[in-house]
Amino acid sequence: MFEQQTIMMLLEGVRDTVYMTLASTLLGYLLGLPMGVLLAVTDKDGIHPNRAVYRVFDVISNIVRSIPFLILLILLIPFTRFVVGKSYGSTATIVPLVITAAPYIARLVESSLKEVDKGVIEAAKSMGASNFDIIVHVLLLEARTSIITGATIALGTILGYSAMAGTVGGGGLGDIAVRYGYYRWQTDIMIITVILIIFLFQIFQNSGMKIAKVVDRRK
Amino acid sequence: MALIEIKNLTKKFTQKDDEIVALNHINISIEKADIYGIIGMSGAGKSTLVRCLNYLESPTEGDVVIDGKVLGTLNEKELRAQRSEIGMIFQHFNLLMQKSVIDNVCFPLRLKKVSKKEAREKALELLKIVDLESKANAYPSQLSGGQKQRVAIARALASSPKILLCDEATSALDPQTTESILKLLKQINEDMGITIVIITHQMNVVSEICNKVAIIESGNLVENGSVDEIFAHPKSQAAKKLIYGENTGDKYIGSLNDSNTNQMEGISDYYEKDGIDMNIGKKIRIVFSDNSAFEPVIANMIIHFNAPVNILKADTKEVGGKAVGEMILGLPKDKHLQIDMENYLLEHGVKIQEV
Repeated sequence: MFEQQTIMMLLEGVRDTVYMTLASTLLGYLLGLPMGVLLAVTDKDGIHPNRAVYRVFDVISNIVRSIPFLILLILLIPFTRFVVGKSYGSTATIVPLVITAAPYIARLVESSLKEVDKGVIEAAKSMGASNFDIIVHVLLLEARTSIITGATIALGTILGYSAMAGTVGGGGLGDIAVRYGYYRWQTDIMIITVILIIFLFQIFQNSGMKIAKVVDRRK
Repeated sequence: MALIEIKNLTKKFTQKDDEIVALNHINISIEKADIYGIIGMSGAGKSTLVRCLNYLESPTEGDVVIDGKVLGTLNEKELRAQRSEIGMIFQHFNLLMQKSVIDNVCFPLRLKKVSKKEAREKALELLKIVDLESKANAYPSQLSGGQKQRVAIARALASSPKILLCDEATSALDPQTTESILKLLKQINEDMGITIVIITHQMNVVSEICNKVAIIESGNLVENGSVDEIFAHPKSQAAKKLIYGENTGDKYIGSLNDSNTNQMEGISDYYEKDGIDMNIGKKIRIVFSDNSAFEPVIANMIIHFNAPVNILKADTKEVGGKAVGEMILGLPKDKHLQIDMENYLLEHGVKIQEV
């Protein structure tokens, strides 16, 4: 139905999308996880309340999340160019994706950690655990199922954002959909890319939930 | 010197603009190897009190001295080290749900950087004591409430503490399981010489295993001393309420009287024919202990005086492993007879008290 060349292009699109999504999620967690821990710990009912620290990260997280992604993408072009050396292509897209994902991930992590039973934290304190012990051995451990569920949600959202980056030359399936479907009226290619994105989404979602279930010892 | 000294301890919380006094100048000494009960209704401040013993809550005023160490003078690091020498168990067990039973028991040891192998050996030993060896690799969600509390006890004992704090440890358990947990605590106290502090609202917990008790009511220590003594002669209203039961006290006895009126009229008619005044003149609470429980004291007394008494309430409780009988009697109206009967009971080793 399609020429070899088109098929190759679609496969490369899948590869680029998977690369962007996974790399951005990973880097997003590198920033977002500590930020989420900080938010959960310094909040007023956290294990080490600190109003000033909480407010700073709270405001940063809200500002970044309130800017529409497409606008952030454009706003960040100079910064992206500075970091990667160019402002188009899949590697360049990772920069705005990470910046938009990190505060979002921080919120997901924060809410997961806040679900941890206060009684268990108190029990750890009664055994002489330090705050660091509690973060590593109680909070992150007890919340791991919820954190993985959160990561699955983040992965899906980042996949969607990566497709959006296609409008400004971001590479991957979104890029193909915009170039062929929108500029060239090749609806068939656009539909194929949409199906591929849905397919990828399903894989991410199902495997994420499966991992979350496997590591959960509560049942 | 006492192992735990609570000196003039006051804890205040500020909520909005209100200042709430949770604990008001509490003084308690707990000796080594005591099983010390702290009892009170919910909201009395007893949970706050137990948290002050390991400084999970720091008191507003006063001191907690453990083994000569004044907790208020310790820095954060010393305080953590001190906490690890005090085991604690909770109403809702507070186990790590994502860790296996054995890893839960190992947890305090791993915090102390004990090697994995050594920690596991110690944990297995403790699981043997709480009779849960077979569940070492299970997860808490697979256990019953009683089993979870046993794991929590093993975990609390892992760091070889001198003191074990129990915060409503049996309140979420059914009576039978409560019984077995109390037995285990008693065994731990006897075998390891660990001092146990028990916070509870259940009188039967105190009467079953504690040797000493403090009664807390709205932040105040209203009565404390040996369980035998307080059980036999409760002085404060709060103590009476706890010992007679939730909604008993004078009201209960009063209503018992009312409901018995019809029945009693029949009886008194019968006795009045014989010229005996059956109306109740005075109510007394009597407590049998030791061998007096085996003598028919009341029956003998009735034969002796040839005058009936009315039994308004009778109950048997276990206090510190001994069966103790408790009765509330209505004595006849005749003042002389009342005095004679009271003397008779006292002579026969029965403690009496007017209600």
